[in-house]
Amino acid sequence: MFLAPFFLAGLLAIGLPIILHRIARQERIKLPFASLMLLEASEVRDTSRRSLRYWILLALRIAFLVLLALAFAGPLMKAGTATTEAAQLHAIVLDGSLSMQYGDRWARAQEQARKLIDGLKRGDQALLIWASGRKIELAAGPVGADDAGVLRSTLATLKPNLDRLDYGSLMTSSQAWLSANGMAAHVHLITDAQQSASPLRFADLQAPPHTQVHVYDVAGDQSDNAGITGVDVRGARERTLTVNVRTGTSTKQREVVLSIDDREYARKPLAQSVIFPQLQLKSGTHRLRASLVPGDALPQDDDFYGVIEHTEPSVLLVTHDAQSDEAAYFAAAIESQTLVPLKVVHATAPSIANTALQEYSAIVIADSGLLTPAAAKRIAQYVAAGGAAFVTLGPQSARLQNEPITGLAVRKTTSDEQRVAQVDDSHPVLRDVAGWRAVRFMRHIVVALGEHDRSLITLQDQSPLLIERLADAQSSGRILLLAAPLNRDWNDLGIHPLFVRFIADAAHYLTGRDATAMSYTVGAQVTTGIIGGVGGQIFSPSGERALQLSDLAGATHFVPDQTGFYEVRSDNRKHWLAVNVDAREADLAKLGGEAIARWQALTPALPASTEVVIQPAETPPRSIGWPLLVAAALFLLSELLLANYRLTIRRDGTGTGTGTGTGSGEVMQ
Amino acid sequence: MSPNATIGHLLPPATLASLANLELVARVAVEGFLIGLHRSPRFGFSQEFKEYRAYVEGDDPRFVDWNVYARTERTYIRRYEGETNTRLMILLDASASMSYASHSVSKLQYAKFLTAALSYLAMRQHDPTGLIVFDEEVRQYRPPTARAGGLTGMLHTIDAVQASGRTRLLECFAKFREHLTRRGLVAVVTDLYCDPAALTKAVQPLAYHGHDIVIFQLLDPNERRPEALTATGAGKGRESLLLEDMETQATIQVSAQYLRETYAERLDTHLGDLRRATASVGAHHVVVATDEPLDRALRQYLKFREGRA
Repeated sequence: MFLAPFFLAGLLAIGLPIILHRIARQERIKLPFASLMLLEASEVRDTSRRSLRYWILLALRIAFLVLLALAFAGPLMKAGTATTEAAQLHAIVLDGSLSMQYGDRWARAQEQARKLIDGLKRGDQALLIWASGRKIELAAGPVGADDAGVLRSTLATLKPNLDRLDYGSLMTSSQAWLSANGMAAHVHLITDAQQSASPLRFADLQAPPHTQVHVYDVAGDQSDNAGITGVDVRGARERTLTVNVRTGTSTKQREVVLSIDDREYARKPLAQSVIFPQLQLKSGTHRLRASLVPGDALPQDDDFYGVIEHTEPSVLLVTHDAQSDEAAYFAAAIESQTLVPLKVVHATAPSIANTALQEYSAIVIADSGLLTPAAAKRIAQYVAAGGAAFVTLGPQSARLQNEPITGLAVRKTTSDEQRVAQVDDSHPVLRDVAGWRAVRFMRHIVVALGEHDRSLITLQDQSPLLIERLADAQSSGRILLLAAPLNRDWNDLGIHPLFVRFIADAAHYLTGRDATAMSYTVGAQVTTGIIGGVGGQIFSPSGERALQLSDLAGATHFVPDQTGFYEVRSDNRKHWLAVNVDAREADLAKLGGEAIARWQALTPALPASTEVVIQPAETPPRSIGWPLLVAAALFLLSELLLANYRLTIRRDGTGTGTGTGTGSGEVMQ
Repeated sequence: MSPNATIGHLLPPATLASLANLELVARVAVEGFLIGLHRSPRFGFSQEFKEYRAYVEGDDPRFVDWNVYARTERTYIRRYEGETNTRLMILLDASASMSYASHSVSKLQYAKFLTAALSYLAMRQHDPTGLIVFDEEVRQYRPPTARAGGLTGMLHTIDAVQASGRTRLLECFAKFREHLTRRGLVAVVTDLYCDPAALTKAVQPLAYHGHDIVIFQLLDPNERRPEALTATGAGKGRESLLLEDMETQATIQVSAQYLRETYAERLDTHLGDLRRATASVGAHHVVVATDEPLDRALRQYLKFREGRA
C-alpha cells in the first residue's frame, strides 16, 4: 500500500540511466592508427575493474531513482506485521469507577498496568481500555510492543471518576474492541473486584471467543467504607426525613449532618437510619444534603443530595366544560387519593396555549379531539420534557384520523359492546385495581398501536383500551391513553368502584410523586424538564454550564458527571436536580476468589488450540517514506563520490551519454 | 640572411602544407635550407677542385689527373667539393598507413614534401633523379633524369600520389632491382612498418648491387607517443581505445596504460632492430618526425651524400 501510488510512475525513470549507460557502453570509439604492429590487446585488466565500477555506478543510480520514487509514493508498512506464532493481543482494562478512588487503589492499578505493559513480548499488540459506567473508552492502541510508550503516557493521564462499572457491560462491549483483531486476546482487568459490579446474569461475564480474562485485584485488604445510601421523605404536610447509612466497621465517632438549602439544619450521631422528624419546611423546593462528617477514604459517598418540593402538586384537568360531569368525575377521583395530595386545576382546551404547563405535575385531557394543533403540540413537548398526561378519546377524537398528541391512527368507532379481555396486572396503575371485566364498553374508539406503545388493557375484540406511551427509555415523560371517554353513553366505567382507584393510581403514577427525595445518579441519563423549543441552560454543581450551545436544541436530557445540585433554568423558572453517586458503587464488598476463578474459567483456555488463527495485527500502517528518502540521499552521495572521484570523467562533451540524477553530464568511463 | 630565407629555413611542415604548390614547397624548403648552410664551411655543392689524392686500386681511372701523371709519373685522383651526377632514386611508400595524421600534416604529405625537396635538391645538383611509388607493388616508376623539365614532371607525379593499399617491402624491393640498374643513391621514404628481418632481406640485394641506401622512416608524433591519443580528441579520458589498422582495418582494444608504458618500449626495440638491420646491410636509417621541419632530413641526406662523395 502506498500513500500516493501515482508517484510510482517515477520508477519509469530508471530506464534513463539504463539506456544512457547502455549507450555509453556501446559507444566504443574507433580510432584509426597507422599500424597495429606494435600494439596488443590490453584492456582485460582495466576493463574488469572499470566494469565493476560501471555496474556499481549504474546500480547506485537505479537505486537512487527507485528509492526516490518509493519515498514520494510513501509505502505503508504495517507495524509489527512480523507477528510470530505467539503474538497476542493484550487488552489492559482499567476499572475507572468511583470505588477505585478508595485509598491507593488507583495507584496500585496503574502500577499493575505498567507491569503488564513492560511484560509485552515483541510482536504483541496491546490496547488500553478505561472502563467506567457507560463509558468503555479505548484510551490508547492497539499498538505494538515497540510503541508501548504510548500506552504508558496515556496511562499516566487516566483517573477514576464517579461512575459505577458493571462487569457485564464491560464484557459485552469487549467484543467491539477485540473483534477487529484476529489475534488471540487477553483481557487484563485491573479492578477492585467489587461484588456490586457483577452483572445480574453470570453469563454476561462471558468473554468473546479466543479471549482469556485475567482479573487483577488491586483492592487490597482495606475495604471499610461508610456512606449514605439514600434519603426517604415521608409525610405530606410534616415531613420526616430518614437518612439510610452504610455504617461500615470503623469505630470512629461520626455524625450525620443535614443541610437544607445550604444551611445546616440538624446533626445526629451516625446510625444505620438517622431520622430527622417533622422538618419545618417552607413552601417551595428545597435542597437537602445529608453528610457524614468527618469523611473517610471514599468521601464521594459521604454526601447525599436530594430535592424535595414542599408544595401541593397540581394536576391540570382539561375538559370542554369545567362544569361537566366528566370534569367532576376526574377531579373527584384525583383528589381522592391520600398518599400525596394533588390539587386539580381546571382548564379548557383553548386556554392551554397561555398556560405554563411545567407548573403541573400531570395533565388530564378529556377527549383530546378538543385540542387545537398548537395545544396538542405543547402537550407533546411537555411530555417529551418529562411531563405526564392522561388522555381520553371521545367524540371529538373519533372524527380525527390521528389522535392529536400521540399521533396514533384512529381507525374507527365501534358500537359493539365489549368487555375487558386482558389486563396487565404488573403495571403500577393496574396492580391494585380489580373488577375491570365487569365494566361494559358500549362504544369505544379503535386505535392502532404504535411500535413502542404498550397496551395495558385489551378489549375482547383485541383493540387496546388503555395504552401507555413513554416519551423514550430514559425520560420520565409518559402518556396514558384511554380509548373511551367517561361518558355514560359510551361505558359505565364512571359508576364502577374501580374508577376512583384507577384514576387515583394513575394520577399518582403520572405525577411521579412518592415519599423519596428526588435525586439521580452520576452517569444516568436525566430528564431536564426543559421543553424543546423553549430552551434553557443547566449549570453544574461547580457553576459551569453543563450543556454546550450545540446541545441546547436537545436539552431535554443530559448525563451528569458530578455529584451535587444541577441548576436548571428554563422558561423563567429554576429548579434543581440532585445527583449522587451510585450507592452500589460505594459498597466495597469484594467478589470472592471462587467467583473470580469461575469468571476466568468461563472462557476456554487459549493457546495450543488450533482453532486460533493467528493473523497479522491490524495496526495502522506507517509510511516509511522518510527513511527511503534518507536512503536515496545516501545513494546519491555515494553516486557522486564514485562518479566524481573514482571514475575518470570525460568533459569534452564528445560523448553521447550523460549522467543521470547527478547532473554531472559526462560519461563515466 | 634574408627574412624569406629565415622563414624558409624554419618553416614547419604545417606551414609548408599551406603552400599549394609542391614545387614552391620544395623551393622554399631547399633554398631556405641551403642559405642556412652557408654558415657552415663543411658542406657545399660546386665543381670546385678540392684536393689530389693518391690513386688506389679500385678508384675510377676516369678521375686520374693525367697532367699530373705526365709531370710526376704518379697517379693522382682529383677531388672536388661536391659529387656530381649521382643518381638519386627516391622510393616513396604510398601505403594506407602513410595517410595517418595526428595533426595537419599526414605522413604521406610529409613524405611528399621530403621527396619534392630531395628531388629539387638533386636536380639543382644536376643529379639524375627518379621516383618509384609503391605500396603492395610498384605503383609508379619515373626513371632518373636530369633534364631541365624533369623536376616539374617529378613534382606532378609526387603531388598526385594517394595513399592506399598495404606495404610489402620484400616484393617491392625485388621489383626495384629491375629499375635500379645503375648504382646510385636510393632514398626510401616510408613508415617502415615491417619486420626488421624482412627489411634486411629486402634491402640487402640493393646494397650488394652497390646502391647507397638511406631510409627515411617517417613517424607521426602519435606513433611515437600514442598516449596522446587518450589525452586529446575523441579518445580523451578513455582508459582503453579501439584502434583500427589503416591498412588491414583490423581493430584491437588497447589500454591507455599499455600505450603509456609498454608501447614506448616496444617502439624503441623496434627502431633499434630496424637500425641494426639497416646497418647490417650498410644502409642509413633516419627517423623523421612529421612535426619537425624538413631541415633535419635534408641535412641527413646531405651528410649521406657527402659521405658517398
